[in-house]
Amino acid sequence: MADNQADIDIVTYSSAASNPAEFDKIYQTFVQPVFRYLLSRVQNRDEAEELTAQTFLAALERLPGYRHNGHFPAWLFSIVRNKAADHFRRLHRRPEVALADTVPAEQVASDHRLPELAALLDKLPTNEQELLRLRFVAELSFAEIAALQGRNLDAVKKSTYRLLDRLHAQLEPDHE
Amino acid sequence: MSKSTPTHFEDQLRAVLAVPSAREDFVAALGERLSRQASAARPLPRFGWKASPARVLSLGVLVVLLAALLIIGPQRVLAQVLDWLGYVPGVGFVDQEGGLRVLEAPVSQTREDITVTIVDVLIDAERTRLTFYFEGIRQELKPLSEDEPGCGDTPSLLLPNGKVYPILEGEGTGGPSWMREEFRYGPLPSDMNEIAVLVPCVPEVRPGAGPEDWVFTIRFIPAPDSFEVLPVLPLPVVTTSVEGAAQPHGMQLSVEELVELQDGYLFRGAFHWGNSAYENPEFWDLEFTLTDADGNKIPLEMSYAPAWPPQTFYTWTAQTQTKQLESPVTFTVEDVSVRVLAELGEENSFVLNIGENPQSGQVWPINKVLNLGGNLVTVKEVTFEVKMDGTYDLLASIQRDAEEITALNLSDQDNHSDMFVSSSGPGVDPDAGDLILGIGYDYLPVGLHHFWVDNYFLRLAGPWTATVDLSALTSSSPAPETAACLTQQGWEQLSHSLLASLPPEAGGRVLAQDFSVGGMLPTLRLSGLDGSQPQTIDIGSWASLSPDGRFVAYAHDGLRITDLVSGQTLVLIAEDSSYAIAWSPDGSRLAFIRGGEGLYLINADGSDLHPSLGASPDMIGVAGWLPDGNHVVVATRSPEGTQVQTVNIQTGAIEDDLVIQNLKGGFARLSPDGTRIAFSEATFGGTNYSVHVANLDGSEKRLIAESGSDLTFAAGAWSADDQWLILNVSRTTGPSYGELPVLLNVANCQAVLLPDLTGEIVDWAP
Repeated sequence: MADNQADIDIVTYSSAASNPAEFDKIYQTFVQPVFRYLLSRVQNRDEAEELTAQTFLAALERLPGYRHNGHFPAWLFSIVRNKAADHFRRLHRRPEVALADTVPAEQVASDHRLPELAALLDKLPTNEQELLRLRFVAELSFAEIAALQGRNLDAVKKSTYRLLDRLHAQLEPDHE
Repeated sequence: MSKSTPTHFEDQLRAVLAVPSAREDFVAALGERLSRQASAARPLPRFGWKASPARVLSLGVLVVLLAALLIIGPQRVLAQVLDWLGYVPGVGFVDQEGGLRVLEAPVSQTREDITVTIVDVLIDAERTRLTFYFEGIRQELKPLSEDEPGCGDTPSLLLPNGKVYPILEGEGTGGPSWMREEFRYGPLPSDMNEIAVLVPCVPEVRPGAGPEDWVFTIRFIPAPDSFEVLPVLPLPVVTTSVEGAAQPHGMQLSVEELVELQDGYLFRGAFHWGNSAYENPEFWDLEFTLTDADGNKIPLEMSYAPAWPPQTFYTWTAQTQTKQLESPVTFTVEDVSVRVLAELGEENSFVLNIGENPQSGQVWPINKVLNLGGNLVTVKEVTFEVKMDGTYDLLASIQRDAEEITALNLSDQDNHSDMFVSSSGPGVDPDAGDLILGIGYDYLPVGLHHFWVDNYFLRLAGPWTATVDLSALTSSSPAPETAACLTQQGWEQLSHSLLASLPPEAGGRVLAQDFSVGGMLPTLRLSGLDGSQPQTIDIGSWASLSPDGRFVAYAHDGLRITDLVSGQTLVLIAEDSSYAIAWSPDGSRLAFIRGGEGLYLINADGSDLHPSLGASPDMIGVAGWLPDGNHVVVATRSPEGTQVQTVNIQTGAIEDDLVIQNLKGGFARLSPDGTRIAFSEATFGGTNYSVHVANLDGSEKRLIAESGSDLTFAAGAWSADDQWLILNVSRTTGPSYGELPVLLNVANCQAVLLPDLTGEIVDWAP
């Protein structure tokens, strides 16, 4: 996503709310990461599409108030996460869906460790699942994740690396 | 990725986490819609100001008119200028550009005894608001447990071109058998005056249990001339502070708009931090006061709109319930509490080597001063504890050298625990002023650990003030409610003074529910008002004394009656669903609420259990019987609040009495003569319920006991002669009914403390 963001400069953000072409640049850049993140959360395509639409409509409405500080994806994903939280609140449901529900058969055929990895991911605490979701599904940079979560950049990197090391060690105990 | 983890592991992770991408047709359709929206969009106004040439011209006219207003005198000329921004009572601010549209007529459908009505629509240039009312929701259709979801899908708008308009936001309220919800969508094109509304399911109903997929067609018409839209008046922004600095800490308070309501004013303004040292502060405890020129503190009802980063201001509104204000009036924020995030640095961190075998109780002196944005704290020592559940704690004792620091969060970079761990703050030691923060570990921590303060709370002193001149606008309005008989201050004075004697007419026996003993149910006790002849009855709740004082009815594993003379207990109903119990005037039967079903009646010997004629599942309380023995006064949940109703149990006829603004039923108590009712309702600008008395029709309503910030009054029981009320008193924090009750004369406000009574007083027999 970082490469595509280079095409979106400050001018785009500030004028996008009333300039369809500019907003479309933003939309085309972020629609897939937003959708995939939401699908990973709600595990239902129709619901993910609806929430994606709500996100961009809300973003369009709030964009004139946005003051660019280099973290536009963090701003956008704060809306995404709020929409997801509203969704779960309406369902009176805790948002604890499986992070990796099932691994497609063709992937299992190529790597038999994947179901085991999926099972490990499902046992992670919510905050660690969210970290993986933001990094590997929404493809946010460490800086964006830090800005979104209000954390220090180094802390986010270290949390992520520690988590990956731990998962890898659990998956490959023979190699510790 | 750390050097030790093979790079292909990330590929494996991506493969497992992979989810399908959005469909191309979805992306295209949404893109098209956003493009149309962006084409139709205009820059959002800052509180309604729009920088178009027409607006600038309007502003110029406004300045002239303001000048004219001051010279000529109060006139309603201002209302003509900002006609694109208005305020609709009960809705909020609306953008009238292009005109407002409303529903041509409410639309209803009934399926399987459930009725769905689209009650209301309001469309302005910014939003489409729809109000839905669902009624006839039966208990058996609802989820059987909290873990089971009810209907969670929200209505959407189906446009003629087939596109679906999802909701942007919504809220609702409901009772046992109804729900009222308002949803807001984007603005509809001005040439679109008919749309379909899709209602996927009925709120609270289990998926598949009730009628689903409702489709309505609704039509819009221009809002009629009679539709009330109040003008929004811009105000000059005036911000001052006591010390002369306009922006303490680089923050600023502004008041920018005013709406003149029928019985008060609505102000709208902002709290800005763009010029402060804080990039994205979280504000806690942002408290406003309004004082008039006479120094009177004016009660306010506040609301706040969140700040979406990187917006650097909150929008607030404040409403008064009177226009009798001596101008100018001043808004003040005395101080604010701000949460500040901190990046790791030498100045806010310390290192500790726990060693390889820490022992419970082991203490390491640290004595390092941390600098948190110029505010100093000293980490004095760290203590290690082994907890009963096998986990471990490191407790840091931190001295707050800077009083501005009210709380802080300590993190350990080297904590690899899988469980959710956080430092628990503030943990203030009131004697030492130290903060004790604990970090938990689900494994034995050893070796070197790096700690740092990753966020902290600051109390920033203001004050910030904004003054508004209302002299040109003040007009008559009803006088504010007269002062209460009893306030928190009054009760505290009573409890510190010499005890007054009980009035001679304050005889008889009172029934109390005492929670101090502990357990799920309180202990029921009978005694005189002076505590004489105490008698313990049983454990139970919703207790009620028979008119002759001989029997007590109460809920305890069902519905029971105990004979206070013989001590015998009769179980009338064995199942546990009865509450709000009230004896008939002749002592022959009981009225009570059966959960989910409404008003029930039963004879005192347990015979003839039946629902009352006219009963509805929305009836949630019994205030009492009328003296004729044929009418029961109940509290019913309604969209307007708690509707007090008089039910004729012979015919089922229902008469609506007053409405109480209390979603919990109002805790209503009917006077023995059936003419007046004591109830709990929030006072304007208050946070706790206060006790009012009114006639059944709502006339002559008086505030008799005003709850304070940490003391709450509630009506307990009437005297037989309808002159006195026993008020229960409790702290808002701490044990319920933990304070001494008060005997209050409703007519002359005489108040007498009842020091010999404990527990919640629920009934009083002569």
